[in-house]
Amino acid sequence: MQQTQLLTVRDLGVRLGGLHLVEGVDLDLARGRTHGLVGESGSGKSVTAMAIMRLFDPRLFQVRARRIAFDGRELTDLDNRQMRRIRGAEISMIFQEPMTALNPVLTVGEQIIETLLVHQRLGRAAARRKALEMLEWVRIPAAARRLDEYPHLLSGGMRQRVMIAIAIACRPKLLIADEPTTALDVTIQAQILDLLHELQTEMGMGILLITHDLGVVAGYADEVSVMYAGRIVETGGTAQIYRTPRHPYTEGLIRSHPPVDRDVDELATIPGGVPQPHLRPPGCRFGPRCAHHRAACDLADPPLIGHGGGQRAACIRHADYGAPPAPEAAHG
Amino acid sequence: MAEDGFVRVDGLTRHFALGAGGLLGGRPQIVRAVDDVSFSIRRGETLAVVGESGCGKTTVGRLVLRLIEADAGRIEIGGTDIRALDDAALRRFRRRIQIVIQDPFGSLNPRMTIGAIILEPLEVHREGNAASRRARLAALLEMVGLPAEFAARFPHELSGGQRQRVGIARALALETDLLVCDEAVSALDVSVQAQIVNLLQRIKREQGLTYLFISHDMAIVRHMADRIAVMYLGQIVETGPKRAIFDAPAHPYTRALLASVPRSEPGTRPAPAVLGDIPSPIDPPPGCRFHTRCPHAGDICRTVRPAPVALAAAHTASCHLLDPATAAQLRSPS
Repeated sequence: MQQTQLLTVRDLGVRLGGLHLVEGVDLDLARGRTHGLVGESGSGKSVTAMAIMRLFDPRLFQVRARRIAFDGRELTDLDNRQMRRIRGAEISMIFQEPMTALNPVLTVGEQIIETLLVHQRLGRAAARRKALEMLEWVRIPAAARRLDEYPHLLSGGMRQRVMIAIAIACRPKLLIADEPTTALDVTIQAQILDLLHELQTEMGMGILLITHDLGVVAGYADEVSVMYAGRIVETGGTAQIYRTPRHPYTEGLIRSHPPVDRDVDELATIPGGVPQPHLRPPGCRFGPRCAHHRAACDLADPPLIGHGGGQRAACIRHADYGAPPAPEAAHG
Repeated sequence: MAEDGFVRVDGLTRHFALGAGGLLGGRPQIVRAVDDVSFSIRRGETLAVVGESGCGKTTVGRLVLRLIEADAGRIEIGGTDIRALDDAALRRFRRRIQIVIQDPFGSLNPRMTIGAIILEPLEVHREGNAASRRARLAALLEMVGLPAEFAARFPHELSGGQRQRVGIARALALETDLLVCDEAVSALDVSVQAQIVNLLQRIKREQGLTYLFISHDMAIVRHMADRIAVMYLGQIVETGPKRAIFDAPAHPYTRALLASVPRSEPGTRPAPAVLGDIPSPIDPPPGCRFHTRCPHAGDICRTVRPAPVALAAAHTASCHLLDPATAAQLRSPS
């Protein structure tokens, strides 16, 4: 498949009153590819996704972006009605907790049919047939029976399959998956990630994969953006980011995650914790936790600086990162 | 398991009845949370109990502390038969066995200061005077890496990692020997998780503690454990030294569990190693409980519960495939 741009986000910011939840976010996603958005709690990764989907109440949140170009259209130009037509049809979203996202008093079938009827010209019978087809697509055993069951009868893994069925019912071009497997057991996680990957290959949809799990990103994302305290601090090809992280936070994040396939003596740690939005330090937000911190870091929030091959990092120390990282920094 | 051990658990069993059989008054449903579980932990050792939802690992921790009562089995800690203790003796014994849970926020009284929370165990057990408690508090805060001024703060002022440090300090306030860590680092962000993992390892070394480390996370377990017990639907399916479990996993479930963990290696995707869902611990499958998801399952697996097979020093797995007497009846392992 030709690599054409599906989503381009430029200078996205979200404010809640005086708090800047997210600032200056740029994102690029090509058709059929997966972009991993990684970060810890409070990094702003879910806020970014919700802003792209225009899910914030404008009376509370101020969302600003220079561009949110999706499939040749500028989403910031669309009114709410036009946006509603895109949401759920061309851009879909799945969440961490499929139980709260599913309506407990509607059957599985009714919830898929609902989506189909909103977005497509289909009769009820045709929509029901399509809903059954979707359940089979997401490999739900005994799909015909499941169609008339309520969500509480399903396991966590099956519920996430139903969520995926609803999300892909209209064959979206972009799927935003926000921690899609975080609540699932690891053997079930492997099944769901495998399913998403298969569906992506079949349908050619782009996936924005939001996760805190570096292992999930390593396996499934083509590109990665690392978020910290409301900003993207590093972005680039997945292999590049893992092998030669250029931002001290990315490096710390990779090294503090214990590997499952070999032993380490002591885990590398990043001192302190992610600052709350109202307590973010001046200059580089990672400064107070950074082992390489120097006075210049406090003067201004550093912009993303290119390192070749599409990798960019927001660190003024970038020049020092020319040498390959220490052996223990490169996992695997 | 008759080997020497500071903690010795034998045939531990706990079933829970669910309701009285529902509206139609049918057979009451029994959750077989823990079913004939045996293990031992040497003094100063970390035994990790690992498994997915419904495997019974949390119940095992609660049973060992007698926070819930067992239906059957023996629990011996430092030579004391825990299940035989009366209330007063159990209360005295609890000075030595403590627990750290996933998110201590719910268990930290929002109206008590951190200092009062950490010292509460001393108060309950009427231990020391005002001066000695103050000294103890200072030592505990330092041990878990919290600044002294945190004593005057309240739980809501703390981050998740700091709250977990408070939970650990409180658990160590008395003369703790055995610490049960139940998903103690699971709710934390990875950079903070590493801090708490290192803290748990350091205080174990310094205080000579013994850990029963309960977790679903194989990577954390690999880092923390000396020995590992893998649980599935209420039973231990494999147990052995950490090295044996990671280098030569024998039970098909252990292998699937390990294969499912994402590697931090770009481009490598774990293939789904097992199909289907984890069955409900209510009326679990007969025979080997893993047979519904096992790629090697044969007739015998559906009817006969496999006995533990000794594979190497202290490494056992309960699988018909590994038992020479039954393996022949199964298709050749792939």
